[in-house]
Amino acid sequence: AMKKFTIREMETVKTTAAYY
Amino acid sequence: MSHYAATSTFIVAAFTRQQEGGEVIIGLPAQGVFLALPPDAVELLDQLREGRTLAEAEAFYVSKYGEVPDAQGLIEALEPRGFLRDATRAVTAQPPPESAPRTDPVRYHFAGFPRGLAQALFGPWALGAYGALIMAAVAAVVLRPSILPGWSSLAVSQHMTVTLLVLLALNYGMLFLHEMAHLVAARAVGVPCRLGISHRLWILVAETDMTGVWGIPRRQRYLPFLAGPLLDLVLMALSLLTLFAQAQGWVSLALQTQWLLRASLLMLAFRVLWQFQFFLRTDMYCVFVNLFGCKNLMGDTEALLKHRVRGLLRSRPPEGDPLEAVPPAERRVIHVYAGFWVLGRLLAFALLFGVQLPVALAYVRSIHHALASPGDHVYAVVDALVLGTVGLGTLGVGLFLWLRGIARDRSGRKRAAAALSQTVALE
Repeated sequence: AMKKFTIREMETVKTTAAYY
Repeated sequence: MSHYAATSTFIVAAFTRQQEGGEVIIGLPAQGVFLALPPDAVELLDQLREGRTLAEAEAFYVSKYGEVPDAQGLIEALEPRGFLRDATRAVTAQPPPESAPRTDPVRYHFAGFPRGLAQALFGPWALGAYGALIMAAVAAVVLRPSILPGWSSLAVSQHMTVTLLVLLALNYGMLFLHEMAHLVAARAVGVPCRLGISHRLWILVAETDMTGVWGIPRRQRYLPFLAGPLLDLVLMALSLLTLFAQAQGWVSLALQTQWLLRASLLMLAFRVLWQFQFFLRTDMYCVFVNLFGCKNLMGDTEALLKHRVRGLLRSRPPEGDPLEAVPPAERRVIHVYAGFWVLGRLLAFALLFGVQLPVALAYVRSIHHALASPGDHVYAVVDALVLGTVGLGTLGVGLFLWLRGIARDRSGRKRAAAALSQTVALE
């Protein structure tokens, strides 16, 4: 019933290097 | 639910902002909190930041857009995340409930690394030098293809335990350098990072949390994402050029050193290839997300797939659209990525059951054989134990972390469902 605001949480950004 | 008086004013924290697509990403880098909002919501926030009361900010919005904004709802979403607080309540503020998102400052690693040095290490001259080194290594391989290692070059004729322990130390050193490359490149553009150890499925990984990149322009994010693989390529180039010099007779290397160089080359090649498994959160996944302007690709994809699975398990389609809040362009990317997500995991499971677990079983057998054969030379027993322990250890720890993560997710969902049913019962 009012102007709604959609708020989205940004994902965490994690770069990697594998042990395998 | 809080209700703010029309005369309320707010203390708004200094936040970063980046316009992306039809949304604005606002963030608190010190807390590692970033949100995507419509531009008109940020305008409303700016009104509050400039000291206007809630009623004045709403009146501004109505005069500009001809609609009444749900400013109360916006503030309720932003306040627990640390973006603002009610100035009139600030003195007697109640502590936030336990369910509120954490807004403590994040403790970053190597925050004192000199930014000037970081910019020099990832400046145009340095990048040119890295490129020249990689091109020189490619030329060396063209001239002497025999310097490329194959599986047979991994045979260890003597001092196996010592050689493998040196290789293990080298591996951890190179892993640390890979993550430091990400951290230093991020530092060069003013983004703080945290290093850690985690897992992707059952694969143990070192990782660099650089969520703060949401606070810098989109094109500046690529170098921090690609700095790790770039370092791997530079180390590969140095190894290849050293082997080339040996093959040409310019230097003379001990056999053990040559073995370590070849093993390191193969290890680095695996590390670079790993990054292309972008159905997991890898460096290339970060590049993909940035390229297509996604805000929460993994979370949105998993929400979509869960919704579809629920639809398949029930006779009627489930209600609601998990991607309702997602812009159309991003939604198309999510639908394509969902295919990679499923196929990638099918392939990973095939590798786990077809290769990794059978090899782990072979390690167990070799350890058992070593312990059950006291007549064998003591070095052979030590070799089998060291190889088996390291081989089983990396897979075992990864499997443990993965299964523990699944168990925690399930118990978390059960607790949330129990809390919800309790709330419904109370009402």
